[in-house]
Amino acid sequence: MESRRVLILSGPGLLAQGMRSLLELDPDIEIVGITSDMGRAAEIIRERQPGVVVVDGDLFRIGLGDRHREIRLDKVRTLISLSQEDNLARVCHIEDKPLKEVEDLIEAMSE
Amino acid sequence: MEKTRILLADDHILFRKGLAQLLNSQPDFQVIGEAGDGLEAMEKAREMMPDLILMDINMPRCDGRAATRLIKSELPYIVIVILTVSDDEQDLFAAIKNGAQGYLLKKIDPEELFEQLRGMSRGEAALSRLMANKILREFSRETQATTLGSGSPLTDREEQVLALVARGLTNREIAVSLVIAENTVKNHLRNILSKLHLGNRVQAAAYALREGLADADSAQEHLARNN
Repeated sequence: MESRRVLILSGPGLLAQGMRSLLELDPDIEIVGITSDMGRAAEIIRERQPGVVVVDGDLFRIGLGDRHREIRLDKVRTLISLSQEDNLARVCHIEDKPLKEVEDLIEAMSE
Repeated sequence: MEKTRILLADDHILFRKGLAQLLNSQPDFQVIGEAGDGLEAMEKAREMMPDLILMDINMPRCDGRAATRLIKSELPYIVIVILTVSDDEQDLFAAIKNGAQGYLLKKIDPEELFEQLRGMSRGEAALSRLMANKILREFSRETQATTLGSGSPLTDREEQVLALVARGLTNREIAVSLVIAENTVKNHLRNILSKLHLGNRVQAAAYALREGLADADSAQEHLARNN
């Protein structure tokens, strides 16, 4: 199976590193970067072309329709915004998926 | 190797799962359970008897402040470290007063978390430099330049130990400084906490600052030397 390249858009610390450690348990997932800087995120998307961007929704408000001058999110196949408050993974703003296990997040990335 | 058995209390599932994975990757930590709120933390603490609880503050049903107070009153041997996004001073002071022995922010690196937790087994408090400075500033504002009177419940040696605790020295460093055995230091500290009705060395340090046994400057100097 082709490896799924994932960019994590989150502040530094235990949340982002914890997500990395969970997702890297899946051999088909490659974390191409972790950053909270939009400029750096744009570079990573250009250079590494992740198919999935996982966003800490408590820090960032991003949608696929956004045309931020630094990021072309239309290059990204799947955008997942995490709401820790609600324990939800919002996939491309189309539907909310309950987030109880890391497998729920991985399943959302496969859609 | 005996592992530190850890209970996680946080209502954010993904954060909790990720934290468990990080801790379990270390040879000296083992996450034995998880709780989504303070009441569940209390129940699991009774059931599993962890060595350490990493406790979030804002949780439904029963928050981390209340849960810390409840657990410390019933199971005082359990070490509780607050792990939160809040760097608010009031949350920090409330946590210490409720008996928490550490206060860490979720934005720290995993390696720093591991070292802070390992330091606790050496008698250190799990506090970032920022949080430690906030405590020192708070008690500096309240400190009167007084000395303990003849009615002090502590012996001269106990006052010496307490003053060095307030400067942030570990038990080993105190032993070297006073030319006594480390076990003797531990015994003195146990007596000090018992006589003053305090829960941990952080509270003891705050008491010493308040009573003028140590000053904030020397405590900050020690922090600068060790960070």
